Amino acid sequence: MKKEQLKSFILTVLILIAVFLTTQIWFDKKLWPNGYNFFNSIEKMPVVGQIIDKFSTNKALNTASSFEDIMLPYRMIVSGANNARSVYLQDSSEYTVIKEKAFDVLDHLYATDIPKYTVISGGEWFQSLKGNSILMDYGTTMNLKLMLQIRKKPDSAISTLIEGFSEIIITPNDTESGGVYVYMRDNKSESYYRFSIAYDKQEVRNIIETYIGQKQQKYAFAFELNLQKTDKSIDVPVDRMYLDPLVLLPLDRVEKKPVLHMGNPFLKDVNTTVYEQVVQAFDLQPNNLRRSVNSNGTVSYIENKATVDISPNGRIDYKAVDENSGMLAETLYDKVNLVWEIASKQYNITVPNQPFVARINSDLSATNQENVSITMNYLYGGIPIIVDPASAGNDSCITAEFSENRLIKFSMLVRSIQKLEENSDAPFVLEALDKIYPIAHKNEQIDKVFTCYVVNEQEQTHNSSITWSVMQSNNIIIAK
Amino acid sequence: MVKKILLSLTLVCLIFSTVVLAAPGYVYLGDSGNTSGLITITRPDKDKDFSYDQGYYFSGIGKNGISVTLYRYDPNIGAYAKLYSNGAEQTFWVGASGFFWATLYLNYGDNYFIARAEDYNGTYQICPFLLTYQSSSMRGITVNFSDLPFVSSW
Repeated sequence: MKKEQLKSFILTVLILIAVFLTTQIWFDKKLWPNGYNFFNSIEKMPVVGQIIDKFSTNKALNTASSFEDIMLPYRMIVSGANNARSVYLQDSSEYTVIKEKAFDVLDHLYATDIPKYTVISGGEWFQSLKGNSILMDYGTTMNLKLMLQIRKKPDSAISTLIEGFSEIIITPNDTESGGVYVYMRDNKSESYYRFSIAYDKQEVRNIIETYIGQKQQKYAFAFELNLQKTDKSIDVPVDRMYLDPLVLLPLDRVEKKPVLHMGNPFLKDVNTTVYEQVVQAFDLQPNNLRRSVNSNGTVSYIENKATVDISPNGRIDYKAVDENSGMLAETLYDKVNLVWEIASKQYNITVPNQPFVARINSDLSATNQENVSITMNYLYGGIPIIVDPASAGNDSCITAEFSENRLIKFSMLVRSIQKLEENSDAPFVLEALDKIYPIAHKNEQIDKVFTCYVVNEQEQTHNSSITWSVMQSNNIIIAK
Repeated sequence: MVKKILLSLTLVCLIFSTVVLAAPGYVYLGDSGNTSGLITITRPDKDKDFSYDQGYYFSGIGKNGISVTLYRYDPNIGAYAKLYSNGAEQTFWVGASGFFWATLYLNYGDNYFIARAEDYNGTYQICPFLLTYQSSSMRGITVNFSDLPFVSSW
């Protein structure tokens, strides 16, 4: 009997030890081999990942940007009779309704096996904006194939004509044949196309009539004012600026917008766990990395494959040791998805009480998709938040570089964004252009004119009011 | 006595300066300005245009610091009268960028306008242009522009 009891006791102890050791292996990271994460690999399985997401308590807030959101048009511009025009940004309910209708039209176009199209002149393309129309302005060059992938649509015959585009125009076809026209310009070949599709033009008209807003002239495109480069000789002896024909100029002051307070989440004492989570977002294990703190307060994690620096001014930098070491992303879709995933994770870790709202602002139409730069900016109320180039050397809040399909650099300036009670006016756009003139290159085109908020990397906390900026030769100039 | 003379001189100078600096209320036929090169109108780009919309975008390029005042021909007076918008005269100053623009509201038919650009030293340039507001039912029909009341710049 004693022998049996002893055996039972030993067996029980062994089982308990086995269970204890198993929990240690599963949950204690110190026992994991370099780079191994049993749960990480399980989480990434499609079905399991979806189940975990459903019950996860670490989801971003509902208004955060989804992967599709970061590729949406920057704004929708509805034009009607008497030069009436209204502009809707991403945060408005009107934008959502117009976008849904526009995408429905485009889905019809993309699904057509042999789309009917005509090659048109630039003049006709611009002319389409002067009547009833919906302009989807993406603010940067988009890749059509990538757009279709993100929207989970099959590739379209149109992607052989249009590689990169920045705008899409939809108008009702008022000729006898009826239907709807979709105008697209291929930025690469500078060819203009008008696609004709069988779609109920009255539905498009209804959207335009509903959302044209006040039937007044509040906006004009630069081409309507002839402020783009033309052959007309100018008798005035001045060094001119030229505007891109599609720069949209408000004829009055834009409406007041809230003042924002920008804060550096690393300004106050930050729990070590936050640093570790930041590192883990790059698929690295902090316990396997060498950690150091520089004299300027930058916390660095160094590993065989990459380094992660978290500086006290709120900048997170990831650098792969070489081109073979970075995180792999084979297709353009994978690259954009990776950047979005990392950026949204980092934001949720460092600013957990605010949604991550951002959009892409880099050219995605490059033929060489192995070596790509992707940049993003935060958005507030649909208005981009840019970094003052004078404070940081670049103007995007999030930048990523890929080489040979591997992420070799990722840099993100993290800021909390809070709306204050006060509102402010943006200066009249003409005043802003007057301020920019001394700094801008003369006799060169200004490609974009836009309202924005500006964050200064050198200032830990500051308020930011809406202002105007221009883009000229890929450089941002802020009207200060 | 000296004080009265000085006061009178001061008053005369003040009144004279305000008269010189303000654009005149009317521009009469035959007045073609005394200089050029202060502004170039970019729209309308050929000094004549027609519109199916009542609102018309008027725009141009000018030298920094130039004032531009808009006038419309009034046949009852036989001269170009200064335009007002919401009680304020339609005068604007060209800034460093050189850009200027305004919205003009047209009457049906021919509208004869003048943009009077003036420099700080009193030199001024007259730029006439004609805008014809047509009903949208006339789209596609060619219209011959009628002659201006004066022809100095046409």
